[in-house]
Amino acid sequence: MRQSRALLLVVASAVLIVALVTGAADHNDPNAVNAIFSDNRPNGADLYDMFGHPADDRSRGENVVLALTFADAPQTGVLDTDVLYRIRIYPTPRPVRPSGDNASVSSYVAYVRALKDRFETFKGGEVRVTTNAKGEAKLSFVGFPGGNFAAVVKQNTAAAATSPGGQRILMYVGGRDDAFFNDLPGFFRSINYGPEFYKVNLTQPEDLREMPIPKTLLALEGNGLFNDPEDPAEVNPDKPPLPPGPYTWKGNRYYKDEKGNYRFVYSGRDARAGLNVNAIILEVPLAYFTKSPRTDRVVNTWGESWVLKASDKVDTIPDRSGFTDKVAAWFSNMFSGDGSFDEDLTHYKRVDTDGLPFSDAALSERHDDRQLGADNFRLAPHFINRFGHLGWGFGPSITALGLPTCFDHSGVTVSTLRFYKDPLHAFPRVKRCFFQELNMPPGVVWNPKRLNIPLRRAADIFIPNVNAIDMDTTGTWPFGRRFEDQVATRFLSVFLDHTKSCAGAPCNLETLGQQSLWNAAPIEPKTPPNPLRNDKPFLRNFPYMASPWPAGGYAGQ
Amino acid sequence: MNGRRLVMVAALPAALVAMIAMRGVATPRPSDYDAELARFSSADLRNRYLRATLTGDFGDYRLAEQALERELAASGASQALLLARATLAFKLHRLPKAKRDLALLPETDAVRALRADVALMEGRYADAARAYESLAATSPSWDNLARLAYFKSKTGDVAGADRLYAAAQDELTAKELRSYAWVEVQRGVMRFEHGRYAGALAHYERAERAYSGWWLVEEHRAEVLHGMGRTRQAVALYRKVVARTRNPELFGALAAILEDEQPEEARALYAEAGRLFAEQMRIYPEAAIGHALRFQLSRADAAPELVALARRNVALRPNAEAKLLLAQAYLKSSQPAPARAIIAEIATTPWRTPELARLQRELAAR
Repeated sequence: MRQSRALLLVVASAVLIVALVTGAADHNDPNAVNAIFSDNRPNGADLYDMFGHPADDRSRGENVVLALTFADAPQTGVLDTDVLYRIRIYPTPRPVRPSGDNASVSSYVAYVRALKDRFETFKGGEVRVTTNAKGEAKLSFVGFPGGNFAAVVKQNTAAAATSPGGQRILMYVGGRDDAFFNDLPGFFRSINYGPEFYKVNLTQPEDLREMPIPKTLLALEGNGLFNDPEDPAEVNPDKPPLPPGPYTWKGNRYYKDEKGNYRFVYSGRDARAGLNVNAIILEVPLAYFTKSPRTDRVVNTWGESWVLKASDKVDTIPDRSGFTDKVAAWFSNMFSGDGSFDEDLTHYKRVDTDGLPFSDAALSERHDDRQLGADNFRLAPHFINRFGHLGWGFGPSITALGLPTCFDHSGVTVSTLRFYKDPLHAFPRVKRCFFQELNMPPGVVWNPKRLNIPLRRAADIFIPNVNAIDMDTTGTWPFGRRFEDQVATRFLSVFLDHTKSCAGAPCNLETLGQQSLWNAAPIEPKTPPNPLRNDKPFLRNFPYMASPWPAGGYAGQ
Repeated sequence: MNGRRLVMVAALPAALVAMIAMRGVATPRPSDYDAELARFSSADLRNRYLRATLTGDFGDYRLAEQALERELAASGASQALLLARATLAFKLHRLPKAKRDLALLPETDAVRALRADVALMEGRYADAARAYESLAATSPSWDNLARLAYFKSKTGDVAGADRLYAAAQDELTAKELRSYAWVEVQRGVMRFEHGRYAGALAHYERAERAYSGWWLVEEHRAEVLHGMGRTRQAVALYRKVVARTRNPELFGALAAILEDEQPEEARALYAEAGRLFAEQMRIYPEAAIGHALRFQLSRADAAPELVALARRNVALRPNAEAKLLLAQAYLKSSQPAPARAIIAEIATTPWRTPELARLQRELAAR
């Protein structure tokens, strides 16, 4: 008998291969220009955005629009049959903010605990979506007061179904133009994110991701690693290799050109122009989701992607080793046609979650173990530390531009690299940013009924990681998320001091999106950080997101 | 029998005829292995590397190594390139070189895992065990679970190893079917080593379903089929794998099966195996020596340089597996005393394999 061979050799081989070619999620929320890591191709489990708002047309009653978007892999309009998607929905009354002075760690912890209790006893429902090789999608509506039911629809085609209670539900599963529009390379430049500009693999040390260089909105003098590289190409770019370290910054001021202008790390260009996503879009009556639509005014929603386990996949692969096996498999396929759907969650492994824009990219730092969906309460102390870290970077940049910041940076004149391990140390610096009410822009109708709806605060927004759609508003961020919302710029505006004036008006969530502000600022280029609108107009009717660009072999409706 | 089944049964003969008629004209779907190999055809470092790890061919490894050195010269010693070079050196059993690069790298899970692999290869079992246990607890990825499983399989805890391999498989998704197949092979090998051939074959067949056309799976299937007495199937499979891989060890395995019935072909196969081993020894002696040694041990006559070769192997990787080969070399060279001493030395380590037990029995019977 031959002895077994040195299998260790193979252990290393197998491990290295899997590290280089399997598709883990980048945790792009929002989506990146490309799969950020060099060894990670775009894949359908990588969730991008969770949109949601009350439907504008109230002639058919009160409806909720929901849209989960993700990478268009294997291609636009063709969904990966190994991936199961869940859109989880939990209607609740609007949370009542505790009275009195709550700008303390203890009151924040108490607030988070109260929310945690609510979400831990979550009995909400979900829409579970699976697809088959025949271009069909099965949507199972489970756990809602309106009754369980399932519908099989053709992909890339808007469809309607009627719930057991007679409610009309609109559904679309397939390819669309990406509704997200922003300068993501600019965002990555602002956080000195190596994998966006250089060849960095998912398996490499985490300190090669966000380099130990201060976060900043303005180019730092001498930061050659991030001041100079071009924005990467759209998909699978041939990025330059990461130069040898150390990956630090030794300067002490912002870069200024010969005219004394700062250089913006943002270009204002739409990195997703002309590119598509795959999406699940729904329009559902609120009364289907809850028995108490009059009191349950906030629809909390988030998306999850689950990938079929290898062992369950193998069970579906016929044995083709012998001729008779081949005959049997061929014969069986004649009749089955791969038209089945596997909805059993025990056959899948959760890969990605998505609720709030920038929750992954800015706050959770794309960590796999922070893919907790709504159940991200344990991250509260981390978020305080992270806000402190971001504040030391963005706060001084905002001050340099002559704008007021909520972050207490003690008057430093340049972005500073500082990390916190103890939220008690970070909290005094961030508390104003955390607890200030975020002003809505003066011209934006967000509260059409003029109800007593409190403005949201950062402390309310990021925990739990859900899109909390306020049905009494228009659902513009942070009261939901409409397709036309420029959430990237609004996220940056969280670092402004909303109790003060910005260019003659109260600072608000759209301040940094005003061209006039940039025209007057000592900066080049004179542009808002992100584009103001999508590359294609949105539709007035369902499915709202624009039809896909004729790319990736897909030119659907 | 329901209506659908009735239709299927009625249509079966027609389908068979159609299948047979189409055999000559239909283009067969490429195997998973071939499809993946085709994706690694370009000459950049990543593809060279992936191709080598997939084929196991020393020529491919040499191309990968050259591409890696070129990249290092062009862009400097980044952590990624250093880790890739350390991994490659480990795979080629160049342990000092792997350790040199590892010493330059920060302590990540990947670095800790590779350090533990080196410790195992050097016979530092306590160090390896500590690191594997720690990795499995703090970073229970499929590969770290598989590492610990392998360690347990070699130290006598076969049931524990199988549980860990199953846990590793549970971490894998449908996007990682090659890794799943690899773990299936490990589970099959464990059963094979303990004489449980039917169980081994079941695992190998499942590996083939997960990832079709992989020579690693096919040669293990051939091995167990031979063990089960299904020699014709084994020979057919070995012929296919040998033609594809030109792996000298498999030439030797095929020759051993054919030795009685087709001695002339067996002689030619042995000769080819010897020639190919010589070539491998010229390219990567550290990686080839253990396999060449096993080949020599499998031959009826002991080669004059057998013990020297086995000693050199132990010097390169002073672990129980290498020492076991040295003991076998001594025995084959009619030197039972040093063989006994080595076996006694191995018995002081946690290494507990069926191969060790077999040799202990053999020595006791002398």
